[in-house]
Amino acid sequence: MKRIAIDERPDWRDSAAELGFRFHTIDGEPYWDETAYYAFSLAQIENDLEDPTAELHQMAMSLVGEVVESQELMEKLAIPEAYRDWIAASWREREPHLYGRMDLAYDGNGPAKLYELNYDTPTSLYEAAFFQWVWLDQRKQSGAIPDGADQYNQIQDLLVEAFGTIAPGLPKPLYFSAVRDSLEDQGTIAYLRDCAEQAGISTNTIAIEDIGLSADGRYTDLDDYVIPALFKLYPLEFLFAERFGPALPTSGIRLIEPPWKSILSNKGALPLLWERHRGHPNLLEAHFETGDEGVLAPGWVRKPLFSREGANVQLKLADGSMHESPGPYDDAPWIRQAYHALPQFEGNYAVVGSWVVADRPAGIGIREDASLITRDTSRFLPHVIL
Amino acid sequence: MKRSHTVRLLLMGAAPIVLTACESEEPVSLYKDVAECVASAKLTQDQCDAAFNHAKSEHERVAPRYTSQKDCETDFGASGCQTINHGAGIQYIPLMAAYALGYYAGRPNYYQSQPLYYSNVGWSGGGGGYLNSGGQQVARTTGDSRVARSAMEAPTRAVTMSRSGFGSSASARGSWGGGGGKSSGS
Repeated sequence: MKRIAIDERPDWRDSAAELGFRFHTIDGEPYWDETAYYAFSLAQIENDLEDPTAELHQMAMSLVGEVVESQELMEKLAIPEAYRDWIAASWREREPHLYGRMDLAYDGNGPAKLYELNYDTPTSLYEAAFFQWVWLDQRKQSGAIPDGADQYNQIQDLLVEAFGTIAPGLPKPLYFSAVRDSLEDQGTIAYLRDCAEQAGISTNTIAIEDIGLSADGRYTDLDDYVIPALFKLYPLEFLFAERFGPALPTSGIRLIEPPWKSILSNKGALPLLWERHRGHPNLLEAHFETGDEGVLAPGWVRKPLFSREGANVQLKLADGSMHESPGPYDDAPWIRQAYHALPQFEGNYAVVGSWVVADRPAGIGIREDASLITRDTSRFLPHVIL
Repeated sequence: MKRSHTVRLLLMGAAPIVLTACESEEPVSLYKDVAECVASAKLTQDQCDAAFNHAKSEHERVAPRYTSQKDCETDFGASGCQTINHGAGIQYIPLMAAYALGYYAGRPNYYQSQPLYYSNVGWSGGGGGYLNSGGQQVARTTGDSRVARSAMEAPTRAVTMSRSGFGSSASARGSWGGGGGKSSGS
């Protein structure tokens, strides 16, 4: 695994505009960054990233099967009581899921370590599945990257296939929804909707804020049509807590990601995985906070059960120095995870986002940040297999 | 090769191509009018009447709506549209061109009817055919056919009592880290 500097394609911004990539620059700061790329060997990809992703995913799925049968575990994960039966039923009925991303710390040697699972509302999908693919194709054509180079990225193939697989059992149209004003989230659902259309699914869109509730407890679009199926790029735990939440279990709506994903998007899944697979080479030691731990000891990280984009993370290095990210998610229980440094390349901290589509490892995307905590300020860099 | 063989965009950008999902198909019968239905000899006059009347009664409620006559005629042809006024001002909807009778699997004596619309542009691969109110392709011609089950599930409407019951967490948590347009993803 190497970080290799390279010239940008001179016209990549035009290409981005043509290809619907509207959030390559966020608040004036670069997000898509092709001034460098990461190069992996095939062995690194297959042995150190792809295989562990498949194994970690299977471990996560068996964890769901266990949690839905246990009130005690649901309680530990702070899942509201009113939704527990509905969540459990969605698992027993095997309501299909689409995708997830696990964030791995990996430096090219030794086992990748699981930082967390983003299994409910993962973003950075379009740039991983589509735009980095186009980047490689064009760089190879221009001779900037050797012709034999490949990329670990079957994400789009598998997304279209997964949509095709779930299509027969899915009521239609499938609505795609995200908060209205987030360019990034809107871009991500536009891409997913495109993949669904490619699989022959009829689709529609609605902003999360525009969803209506009918007198008989069903969700409606702006023309009063009942929404039969909803892909929501919006956290399940937000839906649970909001005014329309209580109607979810009886509304008849089919959600993607399905309700049972709330178990895996929860940081509490990390200590539960550790308890069941103590010492697994790809896991970091993790515990629920009980309240008597005292202050954070050196070498530990503190994360809220519910958090997005690296918010509200505290970490204390071995030298005693403290690093903290601000955020609004300070109202949930916390977990502690053993600190494992992100590798640094040319002064940048890189995290590997490893995608799972349906139940298969699908590809990776790499984000870099200037700080130890990867946040929504990070940049996305393409990769190749050489 | 460890990457997608091709990547495509239909709506966001470039090349149009559709892989059709293998959805389970159901038998369906399309009739232009009651006479064609009776002539098929599968249903009695009364059944044909009832099915037609049901589709007709649904028509104004479920037909795709347009605010401009031009947009409607682009999709359904010159003089292929009518006006309605349901309190939202004048709107344009296509004329009901046929009705479809779908038989639900496992419920042999149960059928439901729905209005269909004829479009020359709503078909992949060119040519014209009948669409349901959701714009899904049903069949090129009247008579017996098979369609994806979803094409016979007409969209349902309900009276909306309230909106904006979702989205408050995003706005409440959106005040940190750089301006509006906060992502709720991860």
